[in-house]
Amino acid sequence: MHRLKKSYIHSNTFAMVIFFIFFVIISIFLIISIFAPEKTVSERENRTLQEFPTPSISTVFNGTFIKDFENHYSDTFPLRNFFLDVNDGIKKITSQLSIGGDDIVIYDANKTGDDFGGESLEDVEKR
Amino acid sequence: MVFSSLAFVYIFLPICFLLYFFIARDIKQRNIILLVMSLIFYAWGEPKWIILMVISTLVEFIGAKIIDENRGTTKAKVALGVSVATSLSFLFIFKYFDFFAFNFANIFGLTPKLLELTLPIGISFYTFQTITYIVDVYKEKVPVQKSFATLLLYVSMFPQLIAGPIVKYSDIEEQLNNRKYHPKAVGEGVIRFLVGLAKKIILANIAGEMATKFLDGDLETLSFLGAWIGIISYTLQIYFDFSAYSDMAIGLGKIFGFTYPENFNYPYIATTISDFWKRWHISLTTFFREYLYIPLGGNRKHHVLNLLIVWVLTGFWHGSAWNFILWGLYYYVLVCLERLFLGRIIENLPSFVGHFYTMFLVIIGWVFFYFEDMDRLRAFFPVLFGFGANSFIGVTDRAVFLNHIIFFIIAILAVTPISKVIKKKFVEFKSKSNTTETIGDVSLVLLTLFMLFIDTAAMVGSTFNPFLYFRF
Repeated sequence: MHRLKKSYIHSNTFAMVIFFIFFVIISIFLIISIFAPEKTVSERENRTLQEFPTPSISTVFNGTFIKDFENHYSDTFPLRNFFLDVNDGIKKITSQLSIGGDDIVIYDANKTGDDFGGESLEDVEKR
Repeated sequence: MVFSSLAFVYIFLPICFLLYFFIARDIKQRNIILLVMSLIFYAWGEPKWIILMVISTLVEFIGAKIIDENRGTTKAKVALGVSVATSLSFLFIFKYFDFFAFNFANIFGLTPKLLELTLPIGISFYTFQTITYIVDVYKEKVPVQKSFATLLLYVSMFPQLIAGPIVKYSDIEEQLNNRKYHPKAVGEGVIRFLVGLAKKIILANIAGEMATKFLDGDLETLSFLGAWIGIISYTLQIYFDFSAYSDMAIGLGKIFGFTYPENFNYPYIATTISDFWKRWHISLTTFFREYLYIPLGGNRKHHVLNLLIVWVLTGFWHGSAWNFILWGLYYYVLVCLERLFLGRIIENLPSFVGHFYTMFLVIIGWVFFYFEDMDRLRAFFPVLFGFGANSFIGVTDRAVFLNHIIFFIIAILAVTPISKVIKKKFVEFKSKSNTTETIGDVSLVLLTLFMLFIDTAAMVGSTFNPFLYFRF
């Protein structure tokens, strides 16, 4: 029988607290997402959200049902907008998305992303 | 199903925990729940090929039974051979058939007949796991498994099903029917899982975006520095991605009472190539050593040939394309050179030389690994070594690099054992008194909350989420 190495967690109580916090939080979110009223549009992202897909034999077996279901779950996840803001915050720290500042090259200050038709700067350079 | 999805963390896991810890009464029921949940996990994205996994397991189950009933006879040998060959032939048909058909047809100028099958998820991993079972039964290292459901549980267990670690049957044979639940192991498992998830969904994904940005574009306009930023980003991505998957697997295993072997041991601090391979994907190298290299004769006879076979197959295991074979051969040459004389030289030099030498060669190795298209592979090397007509630095390279400078600092710290040092200091601090123990434990609770918080935010916000080792 394998023996447990000395744990970095001191008390069994706290170890259980760690598990229960995790278990309770993920369960609460699951329950909320089942009973929360359906949202169909995201104003923040200016798009319609994925509806709950209707399963059929073909969509279940080729995986599209599950894919649509996962997108639906993520689109209607409780506190979605709040979490998107937090994620933007994380991205700002790890990779500063905002262009500008003295060191950073802007390809053409008079143009916006739309002028490039969604292409990256590398694509534009190539042309 | 992938670990880094809301559906896994916020639907699959709570249901699994509820059934496993609060509904099931004994280990038998727990095993049944774990098996059913594992099959759901597998079928989630790909219901079709679950049958292949079941058949493959069934073959080994029956084969092992025949071996056990006919010890010491030719029948046992035949059963071993047939079972292993069947499992390997599944792997061959799904993973390698098209590669051979295409190249064979090319040589003789024929039109290749390809099967164009999608690779069943995890087949490269579970095939090896079933092989460890039957071989160890044959060698009488482990008793034969009498219950098919238990054997199927071993093969299909969802934490390690899709991307390893490759758990040998002998490693967890006892734990399948007899495991102790220790609260501390469960708590550690939760933390390990959440930290691994962050490593994957934040660090690996950013590294992946950077790698794609530089390496997937037009190689003629790629600059010298751009090539290096790109391949270094990929070097970081593949480590974070894969080791994070192992962290999550080991963490989940701990929660359910299993101890899986470690799969990574800070590979990027290795001082030689041989050292690197003792630290990278340990469960795969262990498998090849114990189930191929040593049976072939190991170091005792024609070891240069044995090494060649092992390295070519190691490369080929990663994908059915020439670049993976080249990648394997590259390491074969390096390992042979180190065994001959290079290793002794490196060991006598200051250690920073060893680190630099190893990292440089490993990064070059990832070039072979990254470019499956041989033309692009050939076109990339001149850019990387500054032989081409490419510029030294591109218009946007500086901006992209500076924008990600904080990421690179965090990422480079994260490949070093700094977390191990912090953990040691933390344990030392805690052990001072009862008060510090409590402060330490409270901070672990806060860490859990914090990690779950940022993991969730990153999962909600993620659109770019590939798991590299899914392909294998």
